[in-house]
Amino acid sequence: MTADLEGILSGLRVVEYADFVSGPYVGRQLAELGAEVIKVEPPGKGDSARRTGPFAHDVPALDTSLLFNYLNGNKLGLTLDISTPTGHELFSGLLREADVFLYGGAAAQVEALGLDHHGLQKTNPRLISTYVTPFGLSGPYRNFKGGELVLDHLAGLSYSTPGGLTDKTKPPLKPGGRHALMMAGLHGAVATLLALFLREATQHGQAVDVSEIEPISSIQLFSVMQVAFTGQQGVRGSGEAAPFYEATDGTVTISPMQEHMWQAMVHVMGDPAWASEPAFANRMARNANRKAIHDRVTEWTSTLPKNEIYQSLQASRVPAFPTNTVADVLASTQIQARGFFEQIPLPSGENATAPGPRYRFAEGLPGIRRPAPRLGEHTCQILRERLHVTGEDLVTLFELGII
Amino acid sequence: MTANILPLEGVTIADFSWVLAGPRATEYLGAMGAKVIKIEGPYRPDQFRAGPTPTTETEDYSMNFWILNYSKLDCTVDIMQPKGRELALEIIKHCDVVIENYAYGVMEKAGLTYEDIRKVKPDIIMVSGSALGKSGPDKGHVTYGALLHAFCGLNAITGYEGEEPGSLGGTYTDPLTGITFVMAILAALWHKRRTGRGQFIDLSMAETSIAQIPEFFLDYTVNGRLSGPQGNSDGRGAAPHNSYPCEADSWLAIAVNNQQEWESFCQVVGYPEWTKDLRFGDQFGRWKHRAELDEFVAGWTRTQQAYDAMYALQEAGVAAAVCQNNKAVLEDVHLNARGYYVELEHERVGRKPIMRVPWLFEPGPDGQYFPAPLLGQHNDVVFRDILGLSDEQLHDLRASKVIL
Repeated sequence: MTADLEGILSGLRVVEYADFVSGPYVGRQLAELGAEVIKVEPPGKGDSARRTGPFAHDVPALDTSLLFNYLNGNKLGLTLDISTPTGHELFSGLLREADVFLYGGAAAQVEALGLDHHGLQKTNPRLISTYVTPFGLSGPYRNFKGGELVLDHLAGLSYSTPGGLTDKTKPPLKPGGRHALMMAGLHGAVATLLALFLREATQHGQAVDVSEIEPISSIQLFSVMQVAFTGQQGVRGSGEAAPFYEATDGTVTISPMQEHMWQAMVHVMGDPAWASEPAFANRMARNANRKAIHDRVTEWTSTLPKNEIYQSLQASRVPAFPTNTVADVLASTQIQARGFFEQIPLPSGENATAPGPRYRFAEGLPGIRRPAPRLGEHTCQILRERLHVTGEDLVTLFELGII
Repeated sequence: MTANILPLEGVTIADFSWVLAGPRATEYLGAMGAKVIKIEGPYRPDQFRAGPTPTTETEDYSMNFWILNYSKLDCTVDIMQPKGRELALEIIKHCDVVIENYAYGVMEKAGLTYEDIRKVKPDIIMVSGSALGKSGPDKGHVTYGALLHAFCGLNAITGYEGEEPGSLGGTYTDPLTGITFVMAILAALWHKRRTGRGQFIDLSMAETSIAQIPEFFLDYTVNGRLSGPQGNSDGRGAAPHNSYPCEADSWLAIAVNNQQEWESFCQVVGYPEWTKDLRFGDQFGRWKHRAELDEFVAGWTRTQQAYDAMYALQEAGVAAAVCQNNKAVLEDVHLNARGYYVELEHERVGRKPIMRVPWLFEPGPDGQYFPAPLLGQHNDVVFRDILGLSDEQLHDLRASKVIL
């Protein structure tokens, strides 16, 4: 079944009961490296990412969510109502042969569904259980509800977003995207691999407790530690705001932080007379005259396309980038030259262009070869082959809504 | 029984990285048991040693350096000198992994590329990180972390709906690259255990950041849709779903995702007339009229103390969070209860916290944590104990300014 997916983690068996983004992203990264990941979903509705947009060709259906299909490529799919004793028994059967149990969801459900590590480990001492939950398995907020907006607010990111905010009657923002959830997914994959290393030494599986709040809090390392060192508190909306300059077709961001970068930028601009005025003579003076600099530099940028400004500044080693849309990113010659985007298969049989793996290996990283499972696609196959459930019982389990 | 064994015991890492992304990765690896040997230029050390928040009058041990360099050994080698290059290669011979994130050209100029290193250590794992990667027409491009947000499309979807793209409030690209470094190194180490082979990993900070928002790329490549700034919306018909003003200039995020949560929300706010408005009768109606709904919700939150409201809502099963500033995040009761901040002691700073690795093992281990090293603090450990150099050889290296 997995011969075409030979990779670094080939042979590793993962059973996933994880909803939405963070937990499934852990499973996806392991599957990308060749692990066999069996995704177990509640019958009927499945993973809630199935009901989250965008959908292929804007036709919403349980198998067309592009978010779901991105996060669940390579996995095998099984539906099982694990809240029933029979469902739980079958689920435990899958875990007896597994290396990793991957949970993603509310911490309160871990006990409610009988998924705590010590219980699961009784029949399989080598089992590693990775729990990705909003606030972790311990601590006073353990049963708080999470979500991207809530996590970004508690982690201190929304306080400083958007950077450069002047109208303080406007609300704090979450950054675009689902950074807290994706970060938790990255950390969950790392911690799971570490538990594999540990198991090599101890022959015993660990419980891995990954919260969504800690990885996203780690982003604000300087501003948070600043309080411990100097007591200095932030000002709302004062987050790092690289200045944007108008170009003919959008904006560019430029940050000539060091003296040689500033000199290089002045030269690229054609050594305008204003740049030799005392108001711009050194970094301190320039800091005090940021508005004036912005106006003067805009006089130059506003006559040129953003990519031309970007390339000419970078050619002189001045940190600068165009403000890209996703379309601009896809059109970037650099991104194309490295072949970063890859084709991922969708259940419909078509391919979609998606961001590739975050790192590339010469060997052992097969990538996404198989589309995400349709809801319950491999239920009968897996229950028959792995747990020797008879055809007759499969029928009854289906009739009862357990699968 | 298992509490004292660390996952990466026996792994040794030659760490040529500096500033943020690389050091973040190697401190995590160090905390997980790897022996990390940080190699700095004696006269061109890690830029973050100098600040921006110095811990003393001297310029070699800043807050930034403290935060990013725990659990490492430190030695000095001028890799631009031929003798320094030789010394670096001697260290690498004792290592499983080489990591670096210099601007393109530095390791090349020093003669320490993967091809160079492989000649003396054939099974080495080498990870290089740079702004746009080490291949392609723009491989030499330079960045400060936050600038890359613009290139990667993150700014385009950040900001108030219908307005211009906004800035993200922090630097995402460097910490993201840091954890991606760790993932790549662990996978490569696992691969080496199975096959005996090393490899070279060319990591692009831009690519790791682009991979943060896959659904936005797919919406364009499949549906042709270009999204603008998202405001506080997460789609999915969730309303109320925004940040609302409270007493004392504070803000509260509230996210109501379904009918059950709406009923709990109404109970907490005390069933005012507007909660019975027919427009807000179900989740679809609330979503369609979310702008009007936001006004009513803000009318309630303005009379509330933010933390009290957060606890009341969460108690009732509604997602809510205070917009915490840096001080509140440091003092956060939950993070502290989970031991997220570990205090370490050092002569330069006294007792100060660091952020531990953002995961926990049960039953353990906790990891090993010791404070960021002084420049060249472990020269003796590295050069005498590990490499076995003599007094005479060390004297010679010092005299020619290869080491401090």
